[in-house]
Amino acid sequence: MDAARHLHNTGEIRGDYLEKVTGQAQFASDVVIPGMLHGRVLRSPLPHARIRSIDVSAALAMPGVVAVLTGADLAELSAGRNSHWGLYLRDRPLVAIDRVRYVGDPVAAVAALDEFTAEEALDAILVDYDPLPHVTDAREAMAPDAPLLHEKMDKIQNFYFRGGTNPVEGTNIFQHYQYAHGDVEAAFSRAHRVFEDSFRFPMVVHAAMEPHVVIADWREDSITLWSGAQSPTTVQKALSLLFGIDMAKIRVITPYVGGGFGGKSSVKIDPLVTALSWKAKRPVRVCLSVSESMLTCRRLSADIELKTAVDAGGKLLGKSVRVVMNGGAYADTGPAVAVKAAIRAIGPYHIPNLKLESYAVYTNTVPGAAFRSIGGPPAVWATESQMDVIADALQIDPVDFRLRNMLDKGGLVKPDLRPIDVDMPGMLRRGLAAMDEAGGNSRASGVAVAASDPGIHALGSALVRMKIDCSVLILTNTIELGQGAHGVLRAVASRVLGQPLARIKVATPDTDLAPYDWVTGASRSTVIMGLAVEEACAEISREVRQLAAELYGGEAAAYVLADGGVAGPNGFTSLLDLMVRANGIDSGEFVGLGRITPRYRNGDFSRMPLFWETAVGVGETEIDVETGEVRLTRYVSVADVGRVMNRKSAEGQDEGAAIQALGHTLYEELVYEDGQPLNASMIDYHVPAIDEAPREFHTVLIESGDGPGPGGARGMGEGAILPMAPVISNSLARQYGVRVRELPLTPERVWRAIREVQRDARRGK
Amino acid sequence: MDLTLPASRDSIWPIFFDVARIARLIPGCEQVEEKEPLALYTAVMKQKIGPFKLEVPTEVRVEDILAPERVRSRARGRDKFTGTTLDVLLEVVLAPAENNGTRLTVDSTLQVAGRLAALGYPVVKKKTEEIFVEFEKRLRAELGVA
Repeated sequence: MDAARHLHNTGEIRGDYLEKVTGQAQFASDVVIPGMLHGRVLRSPLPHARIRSIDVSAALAMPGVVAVLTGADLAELSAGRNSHWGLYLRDRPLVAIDRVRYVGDPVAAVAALDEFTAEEALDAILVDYDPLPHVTDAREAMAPDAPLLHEKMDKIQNFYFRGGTNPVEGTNIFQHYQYAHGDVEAAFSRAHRVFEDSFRFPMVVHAAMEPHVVIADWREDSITLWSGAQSPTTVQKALSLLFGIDMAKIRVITPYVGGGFGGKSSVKIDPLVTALSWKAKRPVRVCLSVSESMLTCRRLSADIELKTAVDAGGKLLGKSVRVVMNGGAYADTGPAVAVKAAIRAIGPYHIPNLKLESYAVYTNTVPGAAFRSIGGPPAVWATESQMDVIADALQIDPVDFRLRNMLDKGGLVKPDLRPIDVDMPGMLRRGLAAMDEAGGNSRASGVAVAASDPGIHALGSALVRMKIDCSVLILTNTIELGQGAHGVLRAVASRVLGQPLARIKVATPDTDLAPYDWVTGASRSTVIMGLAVEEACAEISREVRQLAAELYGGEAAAYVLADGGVAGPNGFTSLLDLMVRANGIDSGEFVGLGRITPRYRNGDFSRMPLFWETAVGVGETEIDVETGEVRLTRYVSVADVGRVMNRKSAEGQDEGAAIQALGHTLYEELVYEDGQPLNASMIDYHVPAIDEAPREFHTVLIESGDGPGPGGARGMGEGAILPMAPVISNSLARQYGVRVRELPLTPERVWRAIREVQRDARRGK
Repeated sequence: MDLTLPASRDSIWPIFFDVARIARLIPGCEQVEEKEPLALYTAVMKQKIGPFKLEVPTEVRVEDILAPERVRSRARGRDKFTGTTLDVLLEVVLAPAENNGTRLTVDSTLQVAGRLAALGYPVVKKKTEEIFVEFEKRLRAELGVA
């Protein structure tokens, strides 16, 4: 074990594993509150309709039913405030008022003594709908005569992301992003070749193991929530605005969360459940079914058009990217997703002339939302597929073609962004070498690379309390949703405070106790919260050493914290003895506060991105030419993570992201017909299972030690989702001459493409 | 639905507005009444879908008509027992085809709300397709063509 690994306790078996496998871990869905009711949500069966009337009398008359919330309650509840909420656009009512906009839109909510009664009561609610024309396709929704989902665009600035959105009033377009540098048209006109390709990326769902769950307890002038939210502080702020209650009186507690992948970030069902608790005057628990979670949010689907110019030497001269994203019925974080989809289509390449344009469009479908690397997978799928198309046409090896255009460390992807901070060519070579070392053939493999700019806001604080027995409590609103963030924070505290991991605990996130953190997402926790904990621990360390120097003599710098106390020129003193000597009794504690803001490190943390999250994928596939079934057989995933904080967690994040990508590459798509989702259940919607994972998966984690986080760490956990689709697609093209431009690569699509290739071959094309 | 029938438009068109004949052709369609010629009709639709037996009093309103070429009508109804509402927009087009035949196309959009919707759209859609298949069979028999 080398020194760096020892320093960072990378071999620790995470504390939550044992709790989870023995069923001891408490998730939000396990929480029981005295007097708690159970809520169920009535959802729209129609894609778009006016609500003529809602009759809840039969439901209310049922024994065990305590309350029914409908849009009619909002006038009283909101009392002059806006009853709509959102992240960029105030477009979503707490519950449908006079209109529904997608199949699954909440129309009413019932609180009852038990879940069964609540479910039964949903059937007794009579809703009279007047159907309206609907549209589920983004391009059709952009047409001038398309049904309009929202009559006005009520914009919000700087609410969750910096800035706002750029909607087109009177249309369904809720974000239109444009960017250019150089002269792309001139580049096209003087190019050796210009390539135009279109790609489609499907609607996919997050499919977290634990569905959305919230327990809300509304009291006279306070609200307490137990929620599976990825951003407790944003929930707190949204509820404060909606219900007119001070933020300090809104408490959000976040026990373990059973997976999020962005589907629980920002705000989701918390306002609805809180409103139901207000109506019932009791705590209410709403735990969605997996099918309901699938009707709550999803990844934005995308049509991506690329036009790319190259010179005769295989150098990229210019590129235009046009992305149209299907944003669903409510904007949520879609405006940010659309921007990132355009930027992430650039890739780690030098492109002197660049034009980006993207749209996010309302449709009568499940609202689009953040999902592991927002906008990244569609962008990288398109760009890295086209890189192989171009290489093939120019008869250049695809790896060589990439390397001719790839930015070195310090190169600019886009002038307003931080220069790329990793050695991408080196990463690519490591990936190819790893494939050969594993017994594969890198020259015949599918290859793809990705560089994404995490949309991280450098806002997060931590409180650390060291007790007299040297046990340490970390207070943070960074949540633990399986990614291992709490393990990383413990490792940081262990290193700075010199105490064994067994003595270090992370408290359940609670906005009443722990300071502000922006969100657990965007690969930011290791860097932002890791640094906050490091700063807090450093403050404690300074104070202890200073006190020891005052009491025992010498310089503070001569003391170091050690297991159970502090060691100095005159030997070891326990913290207990130090405290008794300092305070006269064996009581007290040391408290440290760590705060990370954009002003951190002389303002360097205000520059975006904080670091580049990069990935290389190299993969081998097999194809059954009779059925079109594709299998990934061997895969290498490479990431420069700066520093590995916990090897098991880091590899788990990398493997998890890649296998999640196998879903949108080969299997997953939420299908709509006549405005209805056809497969919004885990019976009809297939996520990859373990027998579909490749027989060999090799994660290569590069530790360059130059990231902004503790010990030179970068964030990770999203990058590996990016290269998978183009790796498989490029592998099929290299091995079988088959190029499919629409995901997922279902057996039918692949089989048809094979037949086409065979037909062309017979015709001598 | 898209089919070509070896019969003229003029022989097919009247069937759609002859309440007795159309009731025989649509499976589960009963008690058809003409309230206003070429404008408003009522009927009771009886269907079994999955575990549900539906009995939906339906009002059919003709929205647009050009004899003997096309008719667009909207059927709406509600089943009291299951709280299911149906809203069907039907667009029927008759076009001349080869050998004095007629190409009949029926475009339908169906929206279902209430307990029946809980079965999931694919189940409802499949039932609709079955109804169309049966309708075609009966229409061919009515016209005496294969």
